[in-house]
Amino acid sequence: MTVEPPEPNPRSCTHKDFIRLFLESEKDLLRYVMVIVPNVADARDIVQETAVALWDKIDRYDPDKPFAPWACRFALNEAKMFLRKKSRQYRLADEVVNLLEIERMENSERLDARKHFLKECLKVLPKKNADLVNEYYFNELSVEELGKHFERSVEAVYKTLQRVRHALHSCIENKLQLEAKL
Amino acid sequence: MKKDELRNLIDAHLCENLDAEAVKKLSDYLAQNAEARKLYLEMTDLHANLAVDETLWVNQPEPFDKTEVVAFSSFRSFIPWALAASVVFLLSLFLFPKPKEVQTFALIKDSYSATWEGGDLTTAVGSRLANGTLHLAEGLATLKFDSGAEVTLEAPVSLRLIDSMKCELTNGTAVTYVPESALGFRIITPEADIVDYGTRFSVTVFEETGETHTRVMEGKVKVEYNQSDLIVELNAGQRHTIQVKGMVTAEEENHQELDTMQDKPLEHGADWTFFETSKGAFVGRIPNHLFFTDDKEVVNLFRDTYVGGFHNQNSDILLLVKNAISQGPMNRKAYIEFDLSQIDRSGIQEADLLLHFAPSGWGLASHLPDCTFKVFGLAGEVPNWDEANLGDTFPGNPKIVHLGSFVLPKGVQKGRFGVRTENLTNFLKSHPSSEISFMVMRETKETEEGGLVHGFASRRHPSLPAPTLAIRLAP
Repeated sequence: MTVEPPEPNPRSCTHKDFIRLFLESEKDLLRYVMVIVPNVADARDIVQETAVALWDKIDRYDPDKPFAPWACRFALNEAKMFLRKKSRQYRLADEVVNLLEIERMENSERLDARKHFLKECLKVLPKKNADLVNEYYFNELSVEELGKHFERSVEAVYKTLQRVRHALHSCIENKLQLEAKL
Repeated sequence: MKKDELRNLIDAHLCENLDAEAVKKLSDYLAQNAEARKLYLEMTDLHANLAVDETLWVNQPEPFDKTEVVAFSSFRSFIPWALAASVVFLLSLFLFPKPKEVQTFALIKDSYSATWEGGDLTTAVGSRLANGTLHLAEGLATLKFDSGAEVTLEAPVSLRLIDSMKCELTNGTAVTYVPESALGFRIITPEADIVDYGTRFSVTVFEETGETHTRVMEGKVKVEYNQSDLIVELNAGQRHTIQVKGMVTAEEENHQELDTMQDKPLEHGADWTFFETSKGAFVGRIPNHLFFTDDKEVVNLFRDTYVGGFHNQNSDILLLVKNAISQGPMNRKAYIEFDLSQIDRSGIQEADLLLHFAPSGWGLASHLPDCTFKVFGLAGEVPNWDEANLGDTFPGNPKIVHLGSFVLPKGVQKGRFGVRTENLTNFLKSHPSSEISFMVMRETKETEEGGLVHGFASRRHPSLPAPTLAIRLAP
């Protein structure tokens, strides 16, 4: 019996494929990164760095496997490197970050399901709160800018954003429970 | 912790509004509570989705009047531009030729409580390293070069990697182990090249003064001066200092020389007598302490061959002292004993207890403020304690008498400290026995867990002086 020599490892992904795969996964990468780096601007920088690292290692990507989980590992590495530059006092302990990273992977389907209901919950927010959240997240205005515009203190803006997030979280919980009963 | 409190903490964390104490509270709670982590993941994902997924906002209320505040122009109008920018960024990866494969020649073998700052190399354990610079701000990290050489960095330190046989130390301490395969391994410093001939040695560069200290634990190294043709050969037990103005040639290990720049000269004249400890040990030995694994290389961190013999018992060249947040055996206190049977103690006029501190390599200095240490004399019924078998508690129940205190400023881990008080003199004079024991403890607790373990040289330390009692007797 003869054994065929292994095929040379072909380039697994063209430039065009890579751009497509990366853009498809970009939001997921941001979601993963923001588990440990909640600031969206920092997370965008990290994901941009990740793109460089991914392209550098693209030869190791197996196109038969999903791209996002492979890319996530790079993104999380970049995020951890970013964290190390931050004062230890102002970040979660390394072992907690590791636990969150593992459990984020394990819970990805559950979190995707929650995301599905988030869109519905946003639709039922009172207009004033929806406007505030919209400006904060979508138009990326600072809390100070929002305070000025809505004629509220910075503290009040923080509190409102906090209440809205809690309301959205509860709304998602309710919808999941309702679905479970059906 | 109640769920509301946890939610508020997580929420404030998402907005980066937590102070250090609150971050620690959240971190500790997450570490021990799976439900809390579940909530954390849900809340961070909600926050992330709101921030990054513009599809959630389709059909949402229109943003307020754009003419009202120019700065409030909708981000939505930027989306096509943002997407275009992403694509341009990605395309830029391809338009420029992919750089030549970077040649790596070392890896980060291990790190302990390491915090890296700046630098242009990846710093995860296991990362392959190419030419570039590392800045270790806290902790320890061991690099393994492909040549076989291993360099342990002690923070704060800056090292530039050049190739598998060369690196440049611009600041801080590097402890190097060179096997046969890497004979000739070179550490370049601002003043000299340290060339290794199969050995274990440390180099410290003081960036501010330009001083370079080389100390050989085993084998042989050569120090090749940059500014002259001078080459100094150092053997085991020798150290060498290069000062920017002038040179100090190799000398045998000098036990009066202190391994720090902060020491003042000893202020003891000819009428003083010096006694080294006859015993020294500490309570609070922890089996399988962080640094004691089965990896023998870890032992190298202690720069001392004796340590291997005390595997799983912590350092024995240093007497360790710690006051942790938590209760437990990690709260170490050191005990020392002097035999003063050779002198007439009634003639003691003045006494000075000298302890030589050195980095233990354990814990983070940043978790401690200025540290006050207290020295107590043991009085009453003091048992004849055994330094080889001092367990987690000191035997018997002797009285303790406070004799004095001293302070190590935050971040200082080495130098000579001690007490020179009337209480000490009187205690020595009035003690019923000529064998006199002291206990040294740190009064200051760490502010966060994992704080620095202080250590001072025991009588077994290969280079630093043992705990010493300097006594001035009546003429």
